[in-house]
Amino acid sequence: MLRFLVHRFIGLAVTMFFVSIMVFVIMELPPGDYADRYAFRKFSGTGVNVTEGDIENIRIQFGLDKPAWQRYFQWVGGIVTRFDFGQSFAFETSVNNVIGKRLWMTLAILYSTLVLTYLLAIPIAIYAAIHRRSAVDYSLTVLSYLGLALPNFLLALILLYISVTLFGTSIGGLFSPEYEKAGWSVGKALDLLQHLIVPAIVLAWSATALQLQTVRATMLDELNKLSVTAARARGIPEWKLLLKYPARLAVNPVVSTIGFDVNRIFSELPIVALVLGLPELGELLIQSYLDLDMYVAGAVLLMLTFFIVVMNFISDIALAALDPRISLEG
Amino acid sequence: MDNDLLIDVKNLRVSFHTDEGFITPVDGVNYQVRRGKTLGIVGESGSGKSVSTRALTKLLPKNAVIEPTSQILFYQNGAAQPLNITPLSPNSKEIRAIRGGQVGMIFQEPMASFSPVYTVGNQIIEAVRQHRHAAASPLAATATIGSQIDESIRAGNKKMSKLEARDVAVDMLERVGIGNAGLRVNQYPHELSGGMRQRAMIAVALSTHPSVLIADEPTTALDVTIQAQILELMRELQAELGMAIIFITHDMGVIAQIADEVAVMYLGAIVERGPTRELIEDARHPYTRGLLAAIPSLDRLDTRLSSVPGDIPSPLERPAGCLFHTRCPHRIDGTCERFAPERTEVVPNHFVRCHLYR
Ligand SMILES: Nc1ncnc2c1ncn2[C@@H]1O[C@H](COP(=O)(O)OP(=O)(O)OP(=O)(O)O)[C@@H](O)[C@H]1O
Ligand SMILES: [Mg+2]
Repeated sequence: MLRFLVHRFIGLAVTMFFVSIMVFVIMELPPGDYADRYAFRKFSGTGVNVTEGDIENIRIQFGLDKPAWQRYFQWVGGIVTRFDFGQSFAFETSVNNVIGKRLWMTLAILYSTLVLTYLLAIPIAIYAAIHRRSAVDYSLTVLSYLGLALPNFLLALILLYISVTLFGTSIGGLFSPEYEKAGWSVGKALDLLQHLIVPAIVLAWSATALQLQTVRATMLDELNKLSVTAARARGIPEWKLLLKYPARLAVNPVVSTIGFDVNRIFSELPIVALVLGLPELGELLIQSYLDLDMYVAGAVLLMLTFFIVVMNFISDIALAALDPRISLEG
Repeated sequence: MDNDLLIDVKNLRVSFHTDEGFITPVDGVNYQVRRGKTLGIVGESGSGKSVSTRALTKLLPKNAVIEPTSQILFYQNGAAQPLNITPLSPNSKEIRAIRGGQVGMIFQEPMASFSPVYTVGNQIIEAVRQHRHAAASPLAATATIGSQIDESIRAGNKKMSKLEARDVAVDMLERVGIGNAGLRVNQYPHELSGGMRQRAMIAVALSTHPSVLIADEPTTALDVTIQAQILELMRELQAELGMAIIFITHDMGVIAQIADEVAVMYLGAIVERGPTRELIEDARHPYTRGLLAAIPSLDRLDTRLSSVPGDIPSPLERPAGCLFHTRCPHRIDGTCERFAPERTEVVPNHFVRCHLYR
């Protein structure tokens, strides 16, 4: 197990290294460099005539005259040692300031979506498989087809309408204005949950529908295994053996697709966030591309891939914990 | 009074609700299970061997019904009256106590019988802790089969600790001939060889000291040398522990080696039953004779291996009259396809259902 962990951890580090190179290349792609844009931004409209020399000075000031590999290590070094993602050119402040709350917003939505998906899909699908051809099982099938057919943004609009008209909740942001600056309290936590629930439902919708189907199918498969009959033949109480044997393996497909789920949530998030007016990273990424604000774009890209890679890592470890055959072979 | 009688099955009828209709693949089966004896059940695939024995622990799919007229009587230690389990729910406490506690089971596929994600030891310990209780004295730990009741009274029904159960598991693995048991107990099923897995499965089944062991084709998936070893092991353990065995197979050759009594099943009925020697040397039913002729033997190497000719009728179209008449070489026209033969005792303890022996 320890060897397996070390193995996977090295894999994670190597992946992040290659990702950072790719992100750096993307950051270098736009024509001109940071100094050009900085100068343009700072002096355009002021009547000051910017010379090549001025730009060269800016370059030296920011260390942009150095070769690419040196700048790469400077950038990565800043991130790793000081958690400093560089300067945002469009906002004229540090990238960390620009990203700040949006990172927490994105993470809050990501995890509440994942938790909601798994909390709904796993128990319901297991129940439906055990009670095959029951009312729950049939309604589940209908619901999950609906779940797969209904587009996210449409659902977002419907839920937005419902929650504003029926419950009078303010949507947008993580907190209502009155809690925004307040310290942590039960009220603030509830307020946060209230704001998270709509985006979480919207993003969890199709994933839940999909996971319901896979968990149910795996569970049905596992229920028919001889090992389950053998446990029954040993006189183990039904609920105990169902949880211990088939249910444990029925969550395997869910655990192994955590990485995909994270990936999908990140790709769907910007549209949903746009509809619901949530400040999150995806939207910032698009904006930073438009502004050619490459340090912001790089930071967002790096963070998003980092979470995907980390969640894949967690999924690998959880999978090995669930099924000991995996770590023994790895 | 028959003191060795453990289970008495009378007129067992099991039906299934299927998409194609209502079928009755086990119809009117009678047999007894006796302490220390081995009952062999033979028959072709689909003859109802598994269904008729799984009914003993109600280990049947949800769409199965055991007809209420059937009687499955358990003669329990000390109880004045036998317990008829037919009306009990499969999830009842009584049935769960019987499963594993009084009746252990082993199956055809030793690999599939174990869950791949738990160690062999885990699955033994689970069974042991489910059925055996903490020993009050070191003496009780070595109690023999059938005395679980006294054991639990002495120990005041306390659950056995995990460590104690682990010792039982290691001891049991040693008894079934697995070397290095202290290490094996922590291994996963895929780390054992095929023959060792079946030994381990026997260890699981016997770790709770059942008085009856149902072995459903335990050697079919194994190669011949391993098969012989497993049969030998089962014989040894029976001599040592005194449990009854129900041994299911479709191989007459295997039955001859292990059974004291043989029941031959065809389409859900026992067509012939008798002491093994008697039945093999003097088989009466044409179907039994067909099965015996199918055993390969040295003095018949030149002749083609014969099996019973003809196809097994589908369970949806059970023949009227004698079940076997569609394939019978000695069919009496006008009788066999019209009347079901009664059970006749041709010599003491040797029963046959055939119009030839009325
Ligand atoms: N789950 C089920 N649903 C419907 N019918 C079933 C089911 N299980 C068994 N049967 C019926 O019962 C008949 C007997 O099955 P059983 O498994 O007892 O045969 P068997 O003698 O053990 O055969 P094999 O040697 O292949 O194990 C089958 O032919 C089938 O018609
Ligand atoms: Mg069978």
